[in-house]
Amino acid sequence: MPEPINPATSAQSPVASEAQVEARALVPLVPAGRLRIGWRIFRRHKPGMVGLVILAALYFIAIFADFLAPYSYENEARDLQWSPPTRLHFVADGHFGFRPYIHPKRSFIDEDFNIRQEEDFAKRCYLRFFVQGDEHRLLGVFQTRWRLFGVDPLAAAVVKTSGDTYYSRLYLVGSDTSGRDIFSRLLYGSRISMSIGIIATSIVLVIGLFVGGVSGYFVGPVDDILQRICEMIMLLPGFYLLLMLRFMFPASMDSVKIYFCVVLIMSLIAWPGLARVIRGMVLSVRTMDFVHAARAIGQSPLRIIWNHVLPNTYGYVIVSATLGIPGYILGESGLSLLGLGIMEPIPSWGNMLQKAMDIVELDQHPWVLCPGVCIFLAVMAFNLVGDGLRDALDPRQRKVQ
Amino acid sequence: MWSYVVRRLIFGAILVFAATIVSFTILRMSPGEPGQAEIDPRMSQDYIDQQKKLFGEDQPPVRQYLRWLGVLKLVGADTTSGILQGSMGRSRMYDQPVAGLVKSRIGATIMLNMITLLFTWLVAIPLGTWAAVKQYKWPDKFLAALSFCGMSAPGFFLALLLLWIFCSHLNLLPPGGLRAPNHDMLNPVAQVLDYLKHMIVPVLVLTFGALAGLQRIMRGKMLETLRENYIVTARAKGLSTSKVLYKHAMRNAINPLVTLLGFQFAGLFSGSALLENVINYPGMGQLMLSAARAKDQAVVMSVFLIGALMLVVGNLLAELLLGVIDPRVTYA
Amino acid sequence: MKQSIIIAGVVVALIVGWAGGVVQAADPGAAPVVALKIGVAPLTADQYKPVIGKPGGQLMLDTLGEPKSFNPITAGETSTTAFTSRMFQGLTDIDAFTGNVKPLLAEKWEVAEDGVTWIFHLRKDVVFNDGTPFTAQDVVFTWNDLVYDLARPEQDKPARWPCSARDANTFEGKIIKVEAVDDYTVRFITPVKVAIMDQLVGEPILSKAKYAPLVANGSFGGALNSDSKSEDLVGTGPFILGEYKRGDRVMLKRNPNYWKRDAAGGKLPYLDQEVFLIVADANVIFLNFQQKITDVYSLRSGKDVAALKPRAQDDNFTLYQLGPTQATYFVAFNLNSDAGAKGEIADYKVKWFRDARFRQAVSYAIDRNALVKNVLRNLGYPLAAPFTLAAGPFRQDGFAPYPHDPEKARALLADMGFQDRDKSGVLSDADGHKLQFTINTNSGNDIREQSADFIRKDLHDVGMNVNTLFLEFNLLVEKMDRTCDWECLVMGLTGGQEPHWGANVWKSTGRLHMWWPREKAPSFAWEKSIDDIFEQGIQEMDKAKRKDIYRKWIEIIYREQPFIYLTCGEQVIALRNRFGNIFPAPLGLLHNEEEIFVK
Repeated sequence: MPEPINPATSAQSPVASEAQVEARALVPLVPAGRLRIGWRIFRRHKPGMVGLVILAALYFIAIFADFLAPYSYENEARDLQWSPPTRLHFVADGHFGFRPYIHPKRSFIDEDFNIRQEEDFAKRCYLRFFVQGDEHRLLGVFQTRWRLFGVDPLAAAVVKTSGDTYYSRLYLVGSDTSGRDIFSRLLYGSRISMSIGIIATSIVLVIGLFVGGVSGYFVGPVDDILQRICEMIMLLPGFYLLLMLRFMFPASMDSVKIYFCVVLIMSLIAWPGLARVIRGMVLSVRTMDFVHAARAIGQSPLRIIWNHVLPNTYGYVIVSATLGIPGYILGESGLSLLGLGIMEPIPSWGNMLQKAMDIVELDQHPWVLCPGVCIFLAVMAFNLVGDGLRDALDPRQRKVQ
Repeated sequence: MWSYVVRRLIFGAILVFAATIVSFTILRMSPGEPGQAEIDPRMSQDYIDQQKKLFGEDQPPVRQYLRWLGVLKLVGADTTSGILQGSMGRSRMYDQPVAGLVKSRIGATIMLNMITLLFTWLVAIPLGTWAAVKQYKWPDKFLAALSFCGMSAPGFFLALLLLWIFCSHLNLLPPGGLRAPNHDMLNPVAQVLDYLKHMIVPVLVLTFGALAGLQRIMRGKMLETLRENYIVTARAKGLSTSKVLYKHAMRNAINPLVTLLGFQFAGLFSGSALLENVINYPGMGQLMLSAARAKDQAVVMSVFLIGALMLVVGNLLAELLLGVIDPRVTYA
Repeated sequence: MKQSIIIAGVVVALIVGWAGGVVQAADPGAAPVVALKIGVAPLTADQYKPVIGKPGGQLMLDTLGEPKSFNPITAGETSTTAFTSRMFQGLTDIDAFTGNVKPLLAEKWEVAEDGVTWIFHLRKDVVFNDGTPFTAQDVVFTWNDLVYDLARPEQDKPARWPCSARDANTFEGKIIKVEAVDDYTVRFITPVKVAIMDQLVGEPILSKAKYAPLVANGSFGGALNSDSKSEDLVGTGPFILGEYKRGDRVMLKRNPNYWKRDAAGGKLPYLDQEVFLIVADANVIFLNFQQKITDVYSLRSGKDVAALKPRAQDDNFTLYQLGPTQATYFVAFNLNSDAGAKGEIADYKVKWFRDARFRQAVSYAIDRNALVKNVLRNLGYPLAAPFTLAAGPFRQDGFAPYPHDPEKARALLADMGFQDRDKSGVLSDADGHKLQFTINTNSGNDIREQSADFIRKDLHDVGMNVNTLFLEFNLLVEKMDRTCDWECLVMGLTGGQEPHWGANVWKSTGRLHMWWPREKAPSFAWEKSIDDIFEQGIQEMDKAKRKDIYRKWIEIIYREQPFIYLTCGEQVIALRNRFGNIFPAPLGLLHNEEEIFVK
């Protein structure tokens, strides 16, 4: 995608001009209660359901990453740097069994400076479920050591055969430069990507709905000023603004602060897009009878906006929010890729992809590309769901059947 | 209509001016001082001080901004030219006029984005039409899936993948940059090919991403148009399918899309910024990142200014095109 | 050429090229590294026998970043010296095989009994690249008018342009008196005894005829900038500026009037031109070499060896393994009590850092072998102190790197009063302050970033809670230099043959005295000792005695660990086979660029 930050306006133009706003107003609205209808339509949209399933899986992984990942994201095995994926064997003594196992392995640098592995075929370490692994706080509350799966540790802490040290570690996708399990880090990394979209969208929604609602309802000087501000922010080149704002924050921050800083910056750039469209919708609603009626009763303007006007925008809002999340995911990944986002040791799919930018590493250890596949999956899931939602909820954008 | 244009132009100018203030404010609020000093223990303090003086960094912020803008020269308070005189200042990082830096890079970025624009349209329009004509059959579904992949695949990831396959393994493509080292010694045809070879990966990646949206919009519009009465009439009259398609349907379907051109023009400048940094393409995006890192005031503000200018112009173009094309739209 | 060697060393440091190699474990405590042969070993001085070559061809290299200027006097950045070192020359140069000074524009020299009067006898056959003869007047002009700017109209104001050599050639506020004895003899009278005067005269000499007018009208500071054309840069070096295309390349072409001849009297240099491609990324430098675009490549770490070694035959290049590099890098702590008092950094932390036991504990805690193995992929060695590994006249033996001993680290910390009072795994001192701090290093340097991560984990294992922070280079320098609000740094220094080049770092009043820049007076007894050593060392004329003096300095560093040295890379350089007269030396591969030809 050319511009990673243009979330709330997905298939729309960055600037919805007055002309377009008026064109919008010509289309009639669908009465409320369509959320229920929408769900039924959505359910029939196969790609959308696929996307929903993927999303559910990803969020599940994000929440339970501690439990699902065999190792903590910081668990190093420096002797096993850049290991390829561990081979899981199912065949034992010539029989296919249901007890998969791995051989303990050691890693060494040969005379050509290649990293090579050697397995100890004499020993087997079986894959087990519900094992005691690295300590973690499940859901941030329960201190426990239970993890979904793992391999047996070796009987002695490490095995020294002929003076070499073998390790029993399960690398499903491979390991990185200090021997950390990339699969586990991918699972932990999902936390960043999955959560950033939600938090950023929430902020954008709050600001966008408020500004759009107020602007569209109180036409006049308030509207003019707010609209000019929106236009101004939207007309600033997005990526450059992102860069500059990021450099504005002192670099003496830990990853948590950087996370919130990145979220804040992306939200600040994105809310005008939403506000403009909301304003347009509000403009067309405010002249309707039920609004007049509410005003006649004497309800306060804010109450009218909140209770009567804005609910008509929710269809669009839900669709646009869903379709906007990929922008945040890509934005954070892009920043982390450039070294400006989440830093070590906290894994994020973006900062894990940094290793792939080094062509020599990529050549010798292609598994560094996996985080890119994860990003792809997450973004695709959101796009699928968004597309389905669009069909279901927002009839104005419904494709011609 | 013309008064509208004038109003928008004035607003655009104010916007661009405001953009410079925004960029300057953000720069000033960033920690750290401009300039670069390598760790060479032999470097003297007065060298550093003298550099500072040269770039006017010992002056108060507001004065620095006005100096860059050219207002100071206008009123005779300073001899350094600024934006109003057409000079973009001097780069701290490279110790050369910003104009030279920009000139060498803006061509690369614009060329990249224009070729992407061309490709996107050349490919999306026919594909969208095809999808509309074969609605719900396999080409439509296949294209829908492809579009999704295009929209969802992160550009930087695709670019790395392509580079890995074609540059590192197959040695077919060059490792970045814009020209081969022996570019000047090639004949003109080879020179063009050389540029194209360097631009294949970014163009492919950007096109793939942008294609999706445009193709689906084209498909949607095409479907709408095909249901229109005059199309049915034409077919009833006995006109051949292709004639109906190209002469009537497509032309009418494309019309509203033309406004998108304006927005894509706006994106001509900043659309490829992230990608340039990832694959080492010497364009404005790369310049901006390194300048922002080094807090090179003049470069950052100038690049930002140009970006804002392009966006303003692009949006104005889009609005005007919309006005020209859609008779329902009137400008107060 | 001295500059050429510095370039070789700096190119290595810049691209962070390291190469694998052999380690003589000087001490049983150091883990033995398997002896590996990667490439051609460096030769000795008597093996240097250049043959007559033929003119023609070009050498293609990369350079990181654009040259800011071409002025060898005012500009000190490596982006500039990479080019000016090939266009301008000084009176002497450094021999790439021995590290000793060798004659260049000066044939011979002597120093008088008083130790402060140096007489340099210049070659009589040197001409500038525009054909004009080189005489003592040019030397005097360069020193008096360019370096010191003695001709400035207002004598009470500072010099009109910056010059990094000015500081290095000013001793306690007094400058060197330079005068011409005759057309080919120059006398330097130093204010105090300066042992390295023969190296200081390596300062590039510019043409008086060409540049005197610029001094007269005061515009020299802005001259020889990046807009210069070939005829603007008049020096005696083997190459002249051909063309500089912004963002693209710098092309140097043969100096048709170069004064040096080969053994048969033929003209040098043989190469028609040298082309430097301007790149922004270390990745592209590798790819350029792999795709046979460039001719030379400095390997970064073992992964480059794995990538390139198998292709040497097919791609027609050879790997040269030149031994440990001169550049060093280390961990430094903020020992600035003033900053602590002012609140830039927590005062109690400064107190911790100032305790030698703390720094020693950190040194024991760091696993240098893992750094060598994982970050450099075995293309390097653990490092104990500067001047202990790389070849050169000041190399000291007998300093083994601190072993990886977390137990000892914990013991030292416990000794200082740190305990795990709340069972969190993080130690705290008697007042309850948790032992945590932030390590800063510059972003964009892969090796430093990775090292910082490994160190963080190592320190975590002994009970320290450490954050890493990657900053832009200039932000880092500003923190170090001005605000002094940093706690811990991973930093590197470009190397050099001569300890005195680091005076700015090691003297308490030095501007780059990282742990307390511009300290008014030494705050440790050992700091005072170092000050004395540097004072003594520069004035001691006897080489062997000098080496002993500086050995005491290394001993202090080793014991007190103001800088906790980490690793040292091995230089491995890949060069295409089509070049002749290649003689790898411990201090560089392309030290004799003017004699290189295309076979």
